[in-house]
Amino acid sequence: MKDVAARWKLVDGFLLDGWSDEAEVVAYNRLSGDLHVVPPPQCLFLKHLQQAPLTTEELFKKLDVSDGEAVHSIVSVRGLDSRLEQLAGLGIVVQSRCVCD
Amino acid sequence: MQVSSNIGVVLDGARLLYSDREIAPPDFVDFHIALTRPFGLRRWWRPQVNFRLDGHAPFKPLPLAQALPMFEWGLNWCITSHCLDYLIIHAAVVEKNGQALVMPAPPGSGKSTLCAALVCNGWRLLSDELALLKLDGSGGVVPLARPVCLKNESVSLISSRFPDARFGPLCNDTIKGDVAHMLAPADSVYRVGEAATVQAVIFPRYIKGAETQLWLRSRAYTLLELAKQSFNFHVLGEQAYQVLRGVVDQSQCYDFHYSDLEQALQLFDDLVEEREPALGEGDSHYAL
Repeated sequence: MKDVAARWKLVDGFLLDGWSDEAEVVAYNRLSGDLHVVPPPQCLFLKHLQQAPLTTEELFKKLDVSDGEAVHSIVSVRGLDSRLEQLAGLGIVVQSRCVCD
Repeated sequence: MQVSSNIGVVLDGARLLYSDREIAPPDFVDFHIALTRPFGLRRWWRPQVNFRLDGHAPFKPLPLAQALPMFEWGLNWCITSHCLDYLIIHAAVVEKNGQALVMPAPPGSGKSTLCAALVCNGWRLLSDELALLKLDGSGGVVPLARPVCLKNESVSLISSRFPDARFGPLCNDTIKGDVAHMLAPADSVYRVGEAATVQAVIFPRYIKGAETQLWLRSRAYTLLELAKQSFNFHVLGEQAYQVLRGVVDQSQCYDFHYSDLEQALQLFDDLVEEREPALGEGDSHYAL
């Protein structure tokens, strides 16, 4: 059975950079030259999406398990979705449908 | 640079402002600059001056009385538009004890006043306007050692506090107000071939009546602001990003507010003389 899920992923070309003593990350797009600073908790989303594209629900579960207090402000999948939409508005993430098992 | 002009204030001003420079033989010249009075009505009625680079006039003419500032501003434009061997940031750069401080700031923030005071107080001037960052990953910054452009009250403030400072003529009612250029110290000109390594990035801001305060600043936001203040970040692509990443990695990053120039000078000396400067409480805060 195949499922078509809308998954979030980093826009092609983005490089995430940061410093161990700072919470925020720099997102630089090698292709477009776009540069952003992404504060927590959004920067945590990007770190997960860097590993693999995820649906909002999948990302929500990962945050819940591994990111503890940093994501306390994200109390629902819907809340997470609106934060991801903000990042999409900046051109950092994009939602695409991919066919998966 | 080769300058030709039929305007006395330009020739006399250039001779004065660059009096410590060697006159190079005209074998190879990067910029052929001409400041000339236009023909026709504007030669006589409300006379104007044109700036030309290699025969092209990139700007509208200015009143003739502003010919010398136009020369300096035009030269800034020549550098930012054509020197693509460097990442160029709108920032002052000074150096002491081998430690270069880069001070990016928007106009009106007190950057040039602070820069002028520092170089009159023993710091080496690399630039009051353009930081030329090397692209080789060394974190090096290349000097220009050109005159410092001071505006309005800053002219009398610096000339009265540092009577040995030498100035070009005061030019009134320019787009930036009343401006005068302070000559680069002779030692800074003599060492113009000597690059320095960036040790700190400081965002200065003059606020009337403010306490002298220095705060640690986020490296991420510092990198973003340096990119915003750059003239050619997008032209150089990822190489420019890596240069800024390197500079921010090797530097302390601060926000700095001041109103008292003496306290500011003391604090900057503390920074490079291994005395711990008094930091403001907490970090600066930013909004996405």
